[in-house]
Amino acid sequence: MKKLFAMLLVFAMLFALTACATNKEPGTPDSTTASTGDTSKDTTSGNEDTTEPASSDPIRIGVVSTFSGSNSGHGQYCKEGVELWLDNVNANGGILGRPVEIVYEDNGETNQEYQNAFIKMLSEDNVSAIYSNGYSDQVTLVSPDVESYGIPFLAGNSSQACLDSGYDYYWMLRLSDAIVSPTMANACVDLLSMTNVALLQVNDSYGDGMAEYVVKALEGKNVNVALRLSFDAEETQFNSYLAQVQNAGVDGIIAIAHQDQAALLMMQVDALGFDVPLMGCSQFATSLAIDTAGETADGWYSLADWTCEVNSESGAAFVNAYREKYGRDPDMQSVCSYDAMLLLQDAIERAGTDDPAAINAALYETNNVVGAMTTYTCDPNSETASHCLGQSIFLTQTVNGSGKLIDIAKR
Amino acid sequence: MLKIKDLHVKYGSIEAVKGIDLEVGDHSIVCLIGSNGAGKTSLLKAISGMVEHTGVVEWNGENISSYNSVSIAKRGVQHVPEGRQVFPGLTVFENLEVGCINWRGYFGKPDYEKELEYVYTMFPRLKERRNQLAWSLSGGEQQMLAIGRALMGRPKILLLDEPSMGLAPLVIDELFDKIMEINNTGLPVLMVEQNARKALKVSDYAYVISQGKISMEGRSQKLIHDDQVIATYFGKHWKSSKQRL
Amino acid sequence: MYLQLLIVGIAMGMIYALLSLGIVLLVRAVGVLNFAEGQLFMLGAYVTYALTYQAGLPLYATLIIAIVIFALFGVLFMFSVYWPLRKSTWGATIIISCLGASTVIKEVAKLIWGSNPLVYEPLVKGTISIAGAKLEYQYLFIIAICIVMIIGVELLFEKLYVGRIMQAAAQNKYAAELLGIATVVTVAVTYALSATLVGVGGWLVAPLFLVSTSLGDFLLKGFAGMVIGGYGSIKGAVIGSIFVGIAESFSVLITSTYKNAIVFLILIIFLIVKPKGLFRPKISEKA
Repeated sequence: MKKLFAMLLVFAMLFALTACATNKEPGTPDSTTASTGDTSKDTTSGNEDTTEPASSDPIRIGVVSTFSGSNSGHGQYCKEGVELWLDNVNANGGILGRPVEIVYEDNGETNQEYQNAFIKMLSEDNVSAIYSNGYSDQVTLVSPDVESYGIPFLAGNSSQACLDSGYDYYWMLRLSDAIVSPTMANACVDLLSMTNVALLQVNDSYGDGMAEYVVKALEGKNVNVALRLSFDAEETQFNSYLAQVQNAGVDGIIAIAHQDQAALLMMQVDALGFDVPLMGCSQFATSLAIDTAGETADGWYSLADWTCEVNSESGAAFVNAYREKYGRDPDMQSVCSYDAMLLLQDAIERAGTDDPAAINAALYETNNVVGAMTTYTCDPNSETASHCLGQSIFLTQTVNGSGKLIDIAKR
Repeated sequence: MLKIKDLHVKYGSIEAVKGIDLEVGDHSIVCLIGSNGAGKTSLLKAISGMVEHTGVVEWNGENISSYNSVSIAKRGVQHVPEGRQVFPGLTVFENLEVGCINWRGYFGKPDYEKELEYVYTMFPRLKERRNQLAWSLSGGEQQMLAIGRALMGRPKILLLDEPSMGLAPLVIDELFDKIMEINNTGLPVLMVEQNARKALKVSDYAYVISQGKISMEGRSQKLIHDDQVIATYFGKHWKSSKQRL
Repeated sequence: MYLQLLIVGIAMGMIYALLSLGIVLLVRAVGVLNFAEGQLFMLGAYVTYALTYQAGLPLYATLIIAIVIFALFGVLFMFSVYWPLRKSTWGATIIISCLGASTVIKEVAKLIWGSNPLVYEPLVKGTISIAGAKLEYQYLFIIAICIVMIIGVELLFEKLYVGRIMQAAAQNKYAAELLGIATVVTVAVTYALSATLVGVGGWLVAPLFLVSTSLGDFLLKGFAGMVIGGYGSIKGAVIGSIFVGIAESFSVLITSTYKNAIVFLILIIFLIVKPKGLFRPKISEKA
């Protein structure tokens, strides 16, 4: 009897081990079932007001994001942006007279889970186009499959390497790191007068890629990179790195990291009291990073894809609508997914059909689509960035917990 | 007075002790001889509460059959296990000190000076080595330590499981002299032994256990001359009793 | 700079030492490597966070209640993860149980507190400058409190009678029970002590590294410290861990990217050159 109980206990533990490793619900009130598998059912958000009218065949768009694990904040913002657009579109008759249905897949926490979720989306969920805000590593993993399934994939990442791969069905909304980096270097030199910098970067493909371009751009402007230090994506203790930076006597710090580490860096840099201008990548200006870092985020500059103080009409309208619907400020993840939906809407309307290949062809003719973040145009003649649609980025400084707009840098 | 009636010990489907009656009178040394696997250790473990058993174990008029080892130790039943089983990483002194637990409690208020003096007098070598770690003692010294540790617990009866195991003959003699000395102060001893001859020499009464049952019992003086006992348990090189003793 | 690296290295080493101690105590008491120890460390941060920010208690109340919670949780942990399986003949049973418990605790923490890291204010905000080294006050608290705890554990085992009883029970359960030691009590106390040590450790680091489920990863460095110091030796666990902390801090001078790799390289070298570690445990294999 005792043995049986012991065995049951062990099996219970093992099940917990496997069960908890698979995709789960986000812990928020209006969450949907993140992964279905039954493609014939209505899989939009649990709100009853977006069911399709029985007459028309819905247009299906897929969204792959993080709805569980420590990055589920991302997914939540992403979803909110999508839903904001969705309510508007379906209230106005949908696209081409047909209602729009969103299919969500939870990409979990690991690259393997991301790939599984994405392939499921491609193969089973019967969508005409996909948006995902995965990291560049993850995007690289799934791009070959995207090509073979031939479904247009709009991504929220920014690694130049993804553009360089030359995939036909891959589209980048934000400015790629290769384009942003010269802008960052310019700001560091012209605005912040840096001449001798320390560069701290995370050592995944995002960090490495961005750092390469930044270093090149800085050297092009005769700035000395006194220190270049890279750290794991799991690192939380930056004291040893910062001690070296202190010792090097630089007149500027540039940091490239994902938002959790960005928050920690801001906290630890502040603790050590650096008296030099601080420039962070766009992750440093996200609401999640700023909220966590609190006061210590103030003063950091950033090349941000997004700030709530955006001064364009479309941007301001988006911010207001978002605040009204959700009671909080939109994050870059929200506006990116929102703009992605706008782009798809534009392409589908011009294509006149929801056939994936036709949508993709239409994307090539994207011209001055006004989004909340920026305007989007495809320049098919661009050698390195024909699939990069975004046209501008913001230079901001965090003041009192929000990004103050300093300048708009056009491509 | 220790009385055991119809004791059975089963390990799963194997019965190691198949109904044993045994008595240890006050002041006496009783030995239990038998070959390996005869059930001797199981019997002791049953008395000290370490294995489950059926049958009755009565100690000083109290039925302790269902008590756990902690309660039984509190009642003065000290079982010195086979293989010495000292606490290797503690010093000799600390080993002895731990022996007081059953009357001293976890926060050690009453003093153990008297008991310690007694043990050091009985086993001067332990006093010499009192700050040495127990694992570094010789086999004989460890056996003395194990017995000393049991003595620290203010025992009212001592259960010894194969104290001579692995020891040289001279050491065994010295050890058994000590056991007799301890018994002379009034402490009854139940000793399980494989070395039948020496055990019989030292004890008052003996039981012979074979395959879980008592096959013979009687005064040790008598059994030591018994031909069958000699033949079975004294080893091949022992001739008949009349020649060697 | 070197002084700063050294002091922070020592502080981190002290934290790893708490983890090491927590593991070593259990290794000595029940012979198992508790793979869930990192999660008990993580819980330390979450529980004190909950008491301070969600229940709004002042510091002294938080600490007292937290320590009680840690101890109780340690005992609960023992009875659910170890006790039912203690007589198992397959050595890996308890390890699997610990691994399972580790995942369960981590996921439950996520369910209760969400997946985003939480902010915990340090005991005293700000930094202090000592001879060119700039340190957050929290690091000094870490060093001070860890020293107190480590000395406390040492005193318990060396000076107090009950400490020797616990050592005896850990060294030979059978003989201990024959003498009348209730080993279930000594084992429970050991678990309570282990959980409390690492729980306080979690509370100490939370202001520096945020309250998050990734705090459990500290376990690896604690484990490395224990192995380098000598598997099973209390003194070794502490010294080995401090060594790991310092090595980790200075390794960044050699390579920033492969900081963890350097630490584990050192661990591997130790395993090859001095597999018994710096200090052999008091008990040798012989007995």
